Amino acid sequence: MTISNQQQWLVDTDIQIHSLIGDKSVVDAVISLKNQHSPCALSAFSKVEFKGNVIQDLCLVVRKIKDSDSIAEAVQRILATGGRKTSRMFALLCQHFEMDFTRPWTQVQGQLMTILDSELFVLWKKFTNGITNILDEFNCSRAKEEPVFQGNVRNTSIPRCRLDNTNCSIRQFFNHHLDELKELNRYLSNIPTGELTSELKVIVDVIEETITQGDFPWHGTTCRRIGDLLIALQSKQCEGLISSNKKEHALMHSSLGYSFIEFPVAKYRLK
Amino acid sequence: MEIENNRVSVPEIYHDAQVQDEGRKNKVVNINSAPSYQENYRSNDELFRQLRTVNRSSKKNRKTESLSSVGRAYELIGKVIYEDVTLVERSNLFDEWKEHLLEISYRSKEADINFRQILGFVLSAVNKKDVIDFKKEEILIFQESTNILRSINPKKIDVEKIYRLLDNHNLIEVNQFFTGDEERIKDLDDYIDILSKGAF
Repeated sequence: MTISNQQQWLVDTDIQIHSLIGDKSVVDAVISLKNQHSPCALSAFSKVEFKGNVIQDLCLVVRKIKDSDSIAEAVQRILATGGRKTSRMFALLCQHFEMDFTRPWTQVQGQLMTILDSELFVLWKKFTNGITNILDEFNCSRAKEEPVFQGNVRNTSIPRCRLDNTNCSIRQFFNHHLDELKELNRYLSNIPTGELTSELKVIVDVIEETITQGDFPWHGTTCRRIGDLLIALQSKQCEGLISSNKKEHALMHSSLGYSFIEFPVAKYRLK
Repeated sequence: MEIENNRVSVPEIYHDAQVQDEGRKNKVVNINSAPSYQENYRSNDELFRQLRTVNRSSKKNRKTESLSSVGRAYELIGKVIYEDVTLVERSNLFDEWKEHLLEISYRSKEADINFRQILGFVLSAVNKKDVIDFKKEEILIFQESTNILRSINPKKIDVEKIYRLLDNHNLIEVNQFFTGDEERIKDLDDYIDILSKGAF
């Protein structure tokens, strides 16, 4: 039996991440929510977002460990480039595996790299295989580029979109929804700037640029800056969208005309 | 080589190569009392069929071996499924096998990513667990994973296959390394500060 898109809920990238990693109470609540709204679909673009966040963060941790001469140096490097969030990921892994940092550094390096390299593979597999239907309405070129873990190479980079590496249909996709986007622009423009999130401000800018230029400015990293909008537009062909990004979708869903279920992540976090 | 009591003893350094060739060319002495993995899998046709595919794909890579503990780890996990051992012996052998894998991970910085991935899958699957937590067919997968690790450069197809086998038995878990728990975050930040000063 085939399931049409209208019969399934689209899950946002953050929901798919919360169903894999995080406090157990959050993971359990997300899985339960997904089961209630089964079958669920995922946007192919979510793969790009996941790669650009979790996978690249973990990859950064492995590289800093490999290039450092001590745990202190490794942690300082992770803090300097990945920030607190990435450092906490690293610290949690160390605690989970009860790392013994009194061992010689080369031994600690080997153990950490073993754990992290396998974790990178597992996360990518679980994220992409954990859902049956992947929607790829605009045939995203970046979503087709899986991370490469081979030999001693870990390639998790996401190239900027250029003529020679991009063969997607995002312009057609944007044009197809142009009337709704104009309406959204009018709606968001009437909201005081202070109430718009930084992502919503970028969305307004990109829509205005599209209207002015008569074409979607797809070069570079435009799509990655307006991920919420792209996923919201894709959810229009589904039952609706499940997301924890309340600030963006609470404002966009009524204007664009899609159903939105909020997952209140803070409610399920351990206090 | 020396002959003692009708058995041939070989220096430990050759153990890996000996075990590796065992059962293939029928010319190598039995240095390992544990049955070969083929013998173990006979009771489980489906698992044997899946794992045989792994062996075929990685045959060429089984020639070199730099991590001598892997051969010993393979012996140990073979003995874990040997039916003549008591539960206490089995548990001790299993823990010793885990320790060997951990030792191997200490020396795996220069190894191939595929090698570390397979090793990491197994270490994660057995982290804080005992032998009684696993079924026989799951231990057979650990044995085959250890067998593949005897190659210094396992292929990607080996990684995929071992991942799939372990995942089919729910032995692949994502480690929970995100948290929004405020108290936990504070503890982690303190821990990060300790690590960044090298003060442990």
